[in-house]
Amino acid sequence: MKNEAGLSPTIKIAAVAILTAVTALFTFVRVPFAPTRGYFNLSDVAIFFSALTIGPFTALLAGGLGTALADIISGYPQWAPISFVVHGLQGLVIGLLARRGGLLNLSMGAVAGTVTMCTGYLLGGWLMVGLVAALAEVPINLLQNLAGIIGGVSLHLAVKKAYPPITGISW
Amino acid sequence: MLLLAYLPVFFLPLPILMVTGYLAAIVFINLLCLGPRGVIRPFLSILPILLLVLILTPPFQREGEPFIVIGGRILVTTGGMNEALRLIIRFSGITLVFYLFANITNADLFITSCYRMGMPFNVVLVVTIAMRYIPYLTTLYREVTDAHSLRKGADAAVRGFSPFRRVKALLPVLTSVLIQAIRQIPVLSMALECRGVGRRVKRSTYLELKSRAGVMADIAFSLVIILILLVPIIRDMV
Repeated sequence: MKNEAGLSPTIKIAAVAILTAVTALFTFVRVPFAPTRGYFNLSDVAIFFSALTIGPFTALLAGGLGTALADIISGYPQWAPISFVVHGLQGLVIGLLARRGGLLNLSMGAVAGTVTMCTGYLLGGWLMVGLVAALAEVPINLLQNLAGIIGGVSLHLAVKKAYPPITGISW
Repeated sequence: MLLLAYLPVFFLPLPILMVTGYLAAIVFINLLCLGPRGVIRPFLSILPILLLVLILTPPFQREGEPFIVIGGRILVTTGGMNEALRLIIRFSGITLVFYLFANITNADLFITSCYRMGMPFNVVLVVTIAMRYIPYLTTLYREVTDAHSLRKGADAAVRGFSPFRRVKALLPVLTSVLIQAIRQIPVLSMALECRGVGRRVKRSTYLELKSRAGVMADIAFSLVIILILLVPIIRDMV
């Protein structure tokens, strides 16, 4: 998959496209967390996985496009522009900080990704529904990110172990 | 794109009556284009957020005259109600415009027009392929979930409301789906290469051929030959 000039452009396009579809699929998967039928989605799991396994630029595009497409398809198109920017940046930040490996870099990436996502949605929500209602969503976003960190890191390790050729696809 | 141009009005400091009229016009357009479902469905989807805005916003806005007073304490002011209404109208309007946009726009045509307007070809390609793979991966996810349920017993591990237990129970399914999805990357890459994507020397279909004067001369000469061949037939008919 890699040649002297680096990863071939078709591999990059294919990786981003497939991970965009994966991110959209994970966004559709809803995990209930309260008897009041509150739920969070697994988009952050896919973003953490993409950033750690493939790299920051794949996570930027796949995270942004995947969540925006999922919002449009699932009937919440008003959130698509915010999701595109926020989740894209989240993937880029996690990937850039965690790409050097090690627990410290991974932790920094996880924290920065969480802050980026929560701040982004807070600002976007502030613009659309006001500061107070946007602040009410912060705990849910934090919970979703925590599940994303646990799920994303676990998936990264599991997939790397079960399918070692994955290490050849990273940029 | 023209539809999205309607959005900035909701952010302008206009009188509340004017913005309400504007929202009514958008509701009317949605009714005309999509029927009652085009208004009811998006409203129902945002109803919890609208209620949240209605409950949480007024107590934090203290300007204006007292609106709700209980036991001598001012709970809600007219300024607070005004702000809550403004936010509800804004979010409802944005939702309706986006809902209309998503439902009356053909995805293929939208992507093609984005390409015509300057979006890079590779990004267009990524979006197109991703949209093709979303249904495939959704089916794959269902199949893998069914397979895992058969092995473990239906959803035995995900009882209760602990989110982390639920995520943990989903991990084997997600791992299988991810590996199947990632295995598609080299296959898809080869398919793209076969179609000439990413080559330095582009396929002839992607090359723009400049027409020369010679081409026009060739066409004219061909027409002359056809006319010469037709002359005996026409003479016989006459």
